[in-house]
This record gives sequence, C-alpha cells and structure tokens, in this order.
Amino acid sequence: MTPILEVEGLCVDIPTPAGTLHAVRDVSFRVGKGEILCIVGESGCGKSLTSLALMDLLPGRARREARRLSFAGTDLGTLSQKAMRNLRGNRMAMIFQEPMTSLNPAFTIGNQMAEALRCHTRASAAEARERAAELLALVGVPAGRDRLNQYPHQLSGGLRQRVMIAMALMGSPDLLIADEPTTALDVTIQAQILHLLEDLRDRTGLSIVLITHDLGVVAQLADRVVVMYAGSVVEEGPVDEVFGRPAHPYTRGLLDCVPVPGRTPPGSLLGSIPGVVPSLIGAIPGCPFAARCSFAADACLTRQPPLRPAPLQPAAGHSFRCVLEGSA
Amino acid sequence: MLAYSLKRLLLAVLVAVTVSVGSFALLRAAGDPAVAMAGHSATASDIEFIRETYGFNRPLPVQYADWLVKALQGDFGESLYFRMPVSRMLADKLPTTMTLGGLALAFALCVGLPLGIIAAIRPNSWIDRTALLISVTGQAMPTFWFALVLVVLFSITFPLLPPSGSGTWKHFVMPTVVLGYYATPAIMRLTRAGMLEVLASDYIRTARAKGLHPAVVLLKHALRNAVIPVVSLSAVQFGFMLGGSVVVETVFALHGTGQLAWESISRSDLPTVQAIVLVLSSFYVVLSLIADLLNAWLDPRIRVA
Repeated sequence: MTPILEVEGLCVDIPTPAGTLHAVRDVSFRVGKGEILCIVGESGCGKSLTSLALMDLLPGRARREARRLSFAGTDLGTLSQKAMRNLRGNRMAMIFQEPMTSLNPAFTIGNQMAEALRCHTRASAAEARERAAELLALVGVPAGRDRLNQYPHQLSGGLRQRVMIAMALMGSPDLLIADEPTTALDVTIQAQILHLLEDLRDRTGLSIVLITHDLGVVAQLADRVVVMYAGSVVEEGPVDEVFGRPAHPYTRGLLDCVPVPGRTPPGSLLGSIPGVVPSLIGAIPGCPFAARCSFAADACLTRQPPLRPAPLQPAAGHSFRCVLEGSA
Repeated sequence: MLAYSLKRLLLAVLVAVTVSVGSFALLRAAGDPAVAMAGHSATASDIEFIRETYGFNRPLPVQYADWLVKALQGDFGESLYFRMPVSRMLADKLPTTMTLGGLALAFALCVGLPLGIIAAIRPNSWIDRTALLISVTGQAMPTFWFALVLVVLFSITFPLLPPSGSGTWKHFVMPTVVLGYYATPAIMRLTRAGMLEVLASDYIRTARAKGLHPAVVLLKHALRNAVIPVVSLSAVQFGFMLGGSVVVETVFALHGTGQLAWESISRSDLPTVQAIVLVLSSFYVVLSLIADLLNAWLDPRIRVA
C-alpha cells in the first residue's frame, strides 16, 4: 500500500519553567491510502499532540521536530505557513473531541461549511452551499438543507459531530485526522459516528488517523494500531496481530483492563496497571514503562530498546519496543 | 429575532416610563414649584396666583399626565432662569454634546479595540505592556488636568488648535481626545480579556484547521464573539459621556448639555434639570436597546433568551 502519510522521528517539545517537556518522543508511523490507523494510549501519552503536530496546529510554545514528515509526497517540515494552510482543511482535515464547542456559535452551519471550501477554491457561494448540503446528506444529517441556516446551539452533540465531519470533507481530503471524535458522545451515537467513518473510508478511499483511548474502538475500526506510552511508540502493527499477540507488557496490561464478552469470566477482577506515568520533563534513562512493568529487569532501567519486529510473525509489520522476547 | 426585539422594545418603554416618573418626582421632591417660580420677594397671594395659573393645585397624577403629554410633544416648559422654552435651549445644546459624545466613543473604539486585539494576540509582550500602561494612565489621570495639559501643549506651546469654543471641527479635537481617552481603558481591557478567552476556544482551533487565513480567524471568528460585552459597555460609556461630560465641556467652553445641566443645578432651574434628566435618560434607554439588539444580531443564542 502506498503511504499517504509518513512520519519519522517526530518530536514535540514544550518549554516549561521546570525544564523542557518532551511530550512526543521520536514517533514514527505510516498511513497507507484508504487505511485506518489508530493511535491508542492513556491520557497524556502524546497522542493528541502527535495529531496536532501533523496539522501544524500545536498550541503556542510547543515545538515540532521530525526527521521526515511527508504527506502525499510533500515534505510538511519545510512547507511555508501559506502552503501548509492550503493543505490544511483541504487535502488533510481534522475533527476534534468536543463537538459541543468546536463550532463557532455566532455563524450558521452553512456559513461555516461553505468557508471551508471557499478559502481553498474559487467555488461560488451557491456551489459551496450545494456541496455542504450534499455532504450533510452523506454523513446522515436529516433535513440537511434546512440545517444550513441553523446555528450550532440548535443541534445535538451527535449532529454537531456529523456536521464537523461533513465540514472536514468539504475539500475532499485524502487524510482525515480524528482526535477522539466519539469521547464526548453517548454510546449509541459513538457507534453511529464510528460506523460513518468506516463507511466514508470504504466509499471514498479516505485515509484516517484515529486518536483514541478506547480499545474497543480500535478493535472495531483500525487496520493498524500504534500504541503510545509516555510520548513513545511501544508497539505497532496490524490490529489483529497487536491485539491477538501483544508483545509489549504495556499493551498486554491495557488489554487486560478491558472486559471481553464471552472471554472474561463473570465476577472476575479486571486488570489494572499499578503506578503512574513518569514525568515527561527531561530525559527518561531507561524504558519509560520499567517502573510499572512486572517483567522489568535491571537493563530496563538504563536502556530504552529500539523498536524491533515481533518474533512470532516478523513479516506482518508488527514491531515492539521491549527487551523481552514478546511472548504473550 | 422579531419576538426578541419586541420584548426588548416593550422593556425599554417600561424603563422610559419609570424614568419619566422619576424625573417628574425629582421636581416635586425638591420643593414647592410655585414657591421656586415666584422668587424670594413674592407674597403669599403671588404664590397662590402662580399655583392657580400653572395648575400646581391639581392632583399629582393629573399634573404628571399633563407634563408627560407635553414632554412627548417636545414642550418641557419654561426655564426659570432664562424665561425661555427649555426645548429651545436643549435643541441648541444637544447637538454639541451628541457630537462630542459620538466622536469620543469613536475615538475610544478606534484606539481600544485594535490595542485590545493586539494585546490579546501577544499577551505579555512589549505591546501588551504598553497598552496596559496607556490604560492605567487613562484611568488614573484626572480629566481636567489632562485637558489643561493638552491646551498648554497644543494651543499655547504649539498653537495648532483653538483652546475653547465649538465653532469648527478643530474645536472638537482636544475635547474628543480627553473624553475618549477616559473611555478607552475599559474598552481595551474588555476586548483583550474577551479575545484571550475566545482565542483559546475550540472553534478557533477548528477555524485554523480549516486552513483559513489568520486574519479571517481573528477578525471573523474571534472578534465577533469577543466583542459582545464591548458593545454593551460602549452603550453605557456613550450614555455616560452625554451626561457626564461636564468637566470637559467646562474646560473647553463647549456649550453642551453637560454645562447647561451643571449651571441649571446651581441656579435651581428645576424645569431645565428635569428636561435634561428625562432626555438624557431616554437616550440611555435607546442606547441600551440598540446594544441589546446588536448583541442579539452578533450572537444567535441571545435571541432565544
């Protein structure tokens, strides 16, 4: 599969009074055309900042660095602000966690959708409205044409997230970055939105990077999964491989925390991972997970191993970052 | 929007009626109008004659209704001091005050809005500090002193502007700057605070994610939401300038309502004071109404309330 997005050695640093916070540490992954890649990890592991870094939307003082940041053959690292703006919202689009606050309360849905197209093309106001109405229908907003004249506060959370998705599609993007798009929604609406994303991929060949902490979402949607911990990628591979044969103790710990109907005996205790995430300020000498890992050896405290292919199926593109042999 | 407008309009009328009762009561509470009109040397029969002639012996509600109907027709009675219709005096003075107030508000907005926006884009930068310095100075400096400094500078040291009077546009430059500068800090600080809050919001991130030009993000998406409290404040400031520009009008010898009000109070010219209170508070009510409607237009969520 030809990659649409290639990320190599992405780092995000945030200067703080206590020292530099290395929020994203040497993260690499690829997204193929029409592929859904999930980035999973707990709060503060750097997954959201990774997604914002791709869009060049990092907050104020955060700094981005990467050995390679390539989107459809374009090097994002050397792009001017203006050229980046032309890509953003056009060929690469993003939706966010909070549909309730992600739309501007002062403008109609139609106005906000139309400007997403009109700032990139010469489309007329009427053409932009027409496309907005089509896309609202595509993402399953009932009575879409009437909604164009409505304001965000007149719509429910689920509808607003659908509007956000439709708005992101205005420029016919090749890549959609979705930062926890269902976290703030009811479970039933969550399933609908996820189904919609999958459906869009199937119909339009859209590539999707989905940021989530919900392993159920990953299992349902992802082709490939990247597991992040404390700013680093600890395991990566096809979702069946990673979930079927997790090689890193952290991935295994995460999977143990989730009940699986039919597999988890009723009344049994769910797993939990003891301890807390290490501080991301300054360097972490060894494996960042060592302090919480029940398999940690002395070597783990001094040396962070590189990502290496998982032993069981090396050809599947499944790799992990641990000194252990990765036997689940 | 129409339902909301009608509701606001009804409210404004109610407030205006309350104000008119207040300004009518003001005259009666201040003493017997017949005694005030008759003057010091009047005899008891003179006072009684005046009371009969002007109808002060009728019940108060009747007098109020009579006064209100006349006031609505522009008849505010006669000034006790000048012995001429108050309405003619007002027609003479109001344009000056309105011009000064309008110019001063425009000045305050032209300085306060951009400075507030820039300060919010670069918080704690040198420009933010400068804006803070300007606003602290504006709030701390006595108006009359600043006015005199300007007169010394621009009428005496560099004779560019006339020090007093209201004949040409040049006469309005210094009063506008003095009165406007006084209103600038609040507008600037409120703009800055609003912009800071809005710029950190999720929908601004969405606007940037769309690839919009930073100027569009700032002026369309951010400013529209940040400016709402500034609109309400501007209406209050404008109302304040109409009534409270006495100091500036006196220093620059601009013959406006502020000066007239101050002089009429010291002369116990009650019909004039009463008329000025009524007219200025009516303007105030209208301004608040305009601000409310403007805000409802800016923020659709207000229209529902």
